[in-house]
Amino acid sequence: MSAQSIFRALSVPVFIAAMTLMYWLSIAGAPSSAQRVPRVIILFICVMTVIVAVRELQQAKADDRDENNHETVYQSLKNWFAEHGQKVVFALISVGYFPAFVLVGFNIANAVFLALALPLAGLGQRLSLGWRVVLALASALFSAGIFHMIATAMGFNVPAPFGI
Amino acid sequence: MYNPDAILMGLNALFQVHTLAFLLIGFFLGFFVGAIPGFNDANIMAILLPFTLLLDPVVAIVCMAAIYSGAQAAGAIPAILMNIPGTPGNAATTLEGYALSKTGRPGYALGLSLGASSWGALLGATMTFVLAPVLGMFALRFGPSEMLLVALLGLTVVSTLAAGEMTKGLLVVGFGLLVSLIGADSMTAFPRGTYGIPYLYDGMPLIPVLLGLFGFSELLLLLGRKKISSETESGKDGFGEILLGMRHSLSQKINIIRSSFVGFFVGVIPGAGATIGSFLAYGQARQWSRTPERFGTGHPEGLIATDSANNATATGAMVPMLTLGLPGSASTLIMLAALVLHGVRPGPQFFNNFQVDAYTILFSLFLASALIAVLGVALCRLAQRVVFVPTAILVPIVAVLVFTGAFAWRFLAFDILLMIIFGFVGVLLRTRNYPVPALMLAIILGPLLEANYLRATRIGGMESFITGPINWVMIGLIIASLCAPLIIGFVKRTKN
Repeated sequence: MSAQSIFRALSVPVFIAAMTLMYWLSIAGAPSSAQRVPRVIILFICVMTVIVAVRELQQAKADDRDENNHETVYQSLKNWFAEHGQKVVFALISVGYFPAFVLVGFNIANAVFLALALPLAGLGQRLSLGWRVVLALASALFSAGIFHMIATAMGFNVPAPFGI
Repeated sequence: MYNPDAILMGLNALFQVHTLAFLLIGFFLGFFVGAIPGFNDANIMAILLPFTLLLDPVVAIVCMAAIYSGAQAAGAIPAILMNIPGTPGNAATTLEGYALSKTGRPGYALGLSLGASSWGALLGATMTFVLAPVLGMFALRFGPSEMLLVALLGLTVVSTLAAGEMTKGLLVVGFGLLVSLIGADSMTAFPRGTYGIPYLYDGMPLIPVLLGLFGFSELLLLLGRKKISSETESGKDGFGEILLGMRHSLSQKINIIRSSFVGFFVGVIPGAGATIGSFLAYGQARQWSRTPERFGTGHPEGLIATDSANNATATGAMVPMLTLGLPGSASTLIMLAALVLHGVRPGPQFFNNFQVDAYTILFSLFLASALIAVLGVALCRLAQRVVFVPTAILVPIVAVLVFTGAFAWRFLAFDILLMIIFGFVGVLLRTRNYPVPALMLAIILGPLLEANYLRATRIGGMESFITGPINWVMIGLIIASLCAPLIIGFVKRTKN
């Protein structure tokens, strides 16, 4: 069975097991009444994790036999990034939105995010680089303006450290 | 119990110009807000609450009830078009609605939803009208042990239906329950799973989690595709498709009645919520269906079941609010606050002391159900084109909407980060074929489960879970929902 198949089969059970372990560590010093219900749930998760992991590994073994896939891990990673690179960059931009929101405020964060995300998502793909930048900036500023109006109308207390 | 004079006076009070005007305004506001992911009816009702003090108490409640009805119906729109539930009660709508929309029939899916929502709201209003004066006592019979079993039933149903693999569903439900228990313990205030983050002390905020699991994860998965729907726009949009969907929803009379019944009675139980109601209705629709294997691929029966139940739950939730003074949700809490501020006391004597007001409110629910069908068609005609908008524009714009919606829940920037984290969790689960709705329902029901478990064991011990007819029925249903997939699978294998 390839490493990629094992990873695909076990990614979710291992993730849930790791989160459960973290939770269990956090309640280690808790009074017994606070631990009562979580302990039962943690036990349930442990049982289900083992069952699901075994079933997923069996399924992965069967799929591996059928596919005859002999890609190395490096090749798999390379292909994965080639296929999903756009999503990875979008995810990174989105994570960057959070500190931008706090540091520069709602409106500037929206404008910057959209200026990066719109061309990344494919806006103006057929245009030259210059026009693409102009289109992205114009769309970003216009959209950020609309969001500013919605936030004002709904009375959201959005941060605006620079007054914008 | 039913006073004909009060009924006629209530009807007369509803059909006053200012009452109707505020009903329409409330419905539009609720519909608009419900259709935008992350913006929910409780927000807009809280904002309008001070202004309603200037109004007559009944007009204020009619307006708020219209907002509530409009939001529940409109929450299906983003759920169907973008897999992002507009309200937590529309999480089940995504199971069939989005799948149907992706086949290039968003108008048809919206029409089914509108028809089902309208009928569900109408049936719920009818049951509220007929049963409200007596149903309050039924709701009181649901003690902590009964509430725990209702929550468990919801979790077992959702874990067995969404992924086709029960073990994955149960694992995800367990994980969701653990996530829901992050925060200060209700008995000892010990912070569980917070790791020193003060924003988690009050527990997991629902809207950012919902937006992350459904909204942000969907946006990440949409990147790289040209449009949401791979079908071309060739006559599959327009009024025709919406009206066709509404007509076809009528052909599912038994499904609508059954699902509305389930949704209504779940709504009557204080705290149960629309999410349980719609998932339970979905589960029962699948079990009664002649084509259960088509569920999950855009089956109209599933969509009709979830949306009729969702809207019947909304009307059912008015019963404990009016007859017992027990709000079941943030929205009904605000309605209750509005009533109390106006000097109108909901409770067991509500239908005796405020007869005319009570009937005006109940009749407004009928009118709201008609508005869902009439106004919803016009608004959905515009909305359905979303699936044909290039993702290059849609994804970044909706992303900002989702960020804003996450922030707007508690006005905390931290919720944006939380939403993004749950977005990644949603992507991981969906790409590995684990049921995200099961996780969401578990996060919603976890606190209810723990609180009622601790209360029940303190009051009556462990025996309280197996005493009483309601508990026996619930336990029977839980066992049936766990065994049903195994039995159905065995029967299929035997036939093959």
